[in-house]
Parts: sequence; structure tokens; C-alpha cells
Amino acid sequence: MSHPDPLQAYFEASEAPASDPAFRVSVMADIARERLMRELVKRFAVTVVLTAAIVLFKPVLVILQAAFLDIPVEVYGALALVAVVALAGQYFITHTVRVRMPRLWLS
Amino acid sequence: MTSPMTDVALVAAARSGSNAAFARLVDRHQQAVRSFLRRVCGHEADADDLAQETFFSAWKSLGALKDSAQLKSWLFGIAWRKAKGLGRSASRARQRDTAWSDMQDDHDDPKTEMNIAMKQAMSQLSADQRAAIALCLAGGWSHGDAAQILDMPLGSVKSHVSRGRAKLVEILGVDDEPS
Repeated sequence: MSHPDPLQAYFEASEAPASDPAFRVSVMADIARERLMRELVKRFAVTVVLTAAIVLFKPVLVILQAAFLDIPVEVYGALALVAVVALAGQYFITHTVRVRMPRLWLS
Repeated sequence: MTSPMTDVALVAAARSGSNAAFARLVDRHQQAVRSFLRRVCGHEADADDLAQETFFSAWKSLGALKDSAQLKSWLFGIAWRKAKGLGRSASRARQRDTAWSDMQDDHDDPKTEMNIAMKQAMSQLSADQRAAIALCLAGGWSHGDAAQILDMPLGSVKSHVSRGRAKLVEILGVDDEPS
């Protein structure tokens, strides 16, 4: 039979705690900070690209704006009415009203 | 009763963005990684900082882990590289603080006394010897696994363990003869 290692008791005395929530929280805080930084960088990049696109396509946007202004008010009213009918239909079928906005999936 | 998730499943979940899965991996491996680094560095605050950096680096490069089943040895490899990178200057600056804080510890507690004695004995070994001892004798890793983690030839690991152990026994004055 092998005898126990006399150093084992010394190693056990220098063992880190089995469970340390504070340590986990510190690690996860670092990760959350990193995620935030990455998200900020991405959003900044998207903002720069969109701003550049707006500046670049300004002449086209001006023409479009003028075209929209030429549309009679009744057309906008009709579009609003269609939206209300669509939402009412959705509520009638699903008993909920959910409007899905376009979202930029960056990650 | 649900069986605990394996490292492989937790790594997969963490890769797909689950913070909870990575937090469970931290919980599962923090004691082993911190104990290893404490034995290698000799200073608990430095070691815990390195352990925190180890897990953070692991999270950032989780995609580079080829075999998720080898997560633990991969974490130890990162920890060892970080420990090697810890500058001598930082360690020296810490030595005075360590000596002072050791004097403040409760020396009546036999466990604390053993911890201090072990720290002092380990500080007289080379970094490679400390790492080999921490893995093979304290952590229960095989010589082969330790060689892989420390990126050393198998013979060097065996030699570090054997010589380091003999030196520890001598410094600590423990009875190494079979009873």
C-alpha cells in the first residue's frame, strides 16, 4: 500500500476557495465591458456609414423629398387608414398587436 | 433531477452568446486555475488578477478552442503563458507586501502556517519547477498532460517534478520515508 504524500496537506492548505461568486462577478464584468465596447464601435461605424451615405446621396434625397411633398394629403390619409385596418385585422386574429420595426443585426 | 451540463455543451452555449454558460464554466474551473496560479506566482492578489485575465482571454478566443473537451488544459495553458509574462519587477514589488501581509496573518491557524510555509518553500524553486509541481503533485495532472500545458518536453517535466519535490521535502522538513 502506498503511503500518503506528506506534501499533500501543504498543497491543500494553499488551495483557492471552491466557490467564489466575487471572482465570477469580476470576470463577467470584464466580459460585459468588452461586449459594450464592441457594440459601441459597431454602432459608431454604422453611424459613420449612414452619415456618409446621406451626404453622398443628398441630391437624390432632395428630389425624393420634393416628390413626396407633391403627393396629395388624401394619399397619406389612405395609407394611415390601411395601417389601422391591418392592425385591427391582426388584433382580430391573434388578440395582440405587434408592430415589427426593421432592426439592424450587427452581431 | 437534471444532470450537470458538460464542458462541451457549456462551451457551445457560450460560443453562441450565453453569458450564463460562460459563468458556469468560470464557477467550475476557477478553483483549479486560481490554485495553480497561486502556487506559481506566490502572491494571491497577482494570481487572482492573472486568473481573471485568463478567463477573459479564454472568452475572447473561445472560437479558437479546437476540442471543447480539452477546455481545462487549454485554460491552464493560457494561465501558464500569462504567469510567464508577469514581469519580475511586479513580483519584486509585491514581495515586500507579501512579507508584510504574511506577518499580519493569523499564525495560530495551522492551515495558514502551512500555506505560508509552502509559499516560502515554493518561492525557492524555479518557475518551471513550481508549475510542474503545481500541476502534477498538487493538481493531479499526468506528466504528459503537464508537458502539453507547459509546452515542455516530457523529460523536463519529470525532472522538474522530481527535483522540485525533493527540494520542497528538504525545505519543509517533512518526513518522506514510508511508515
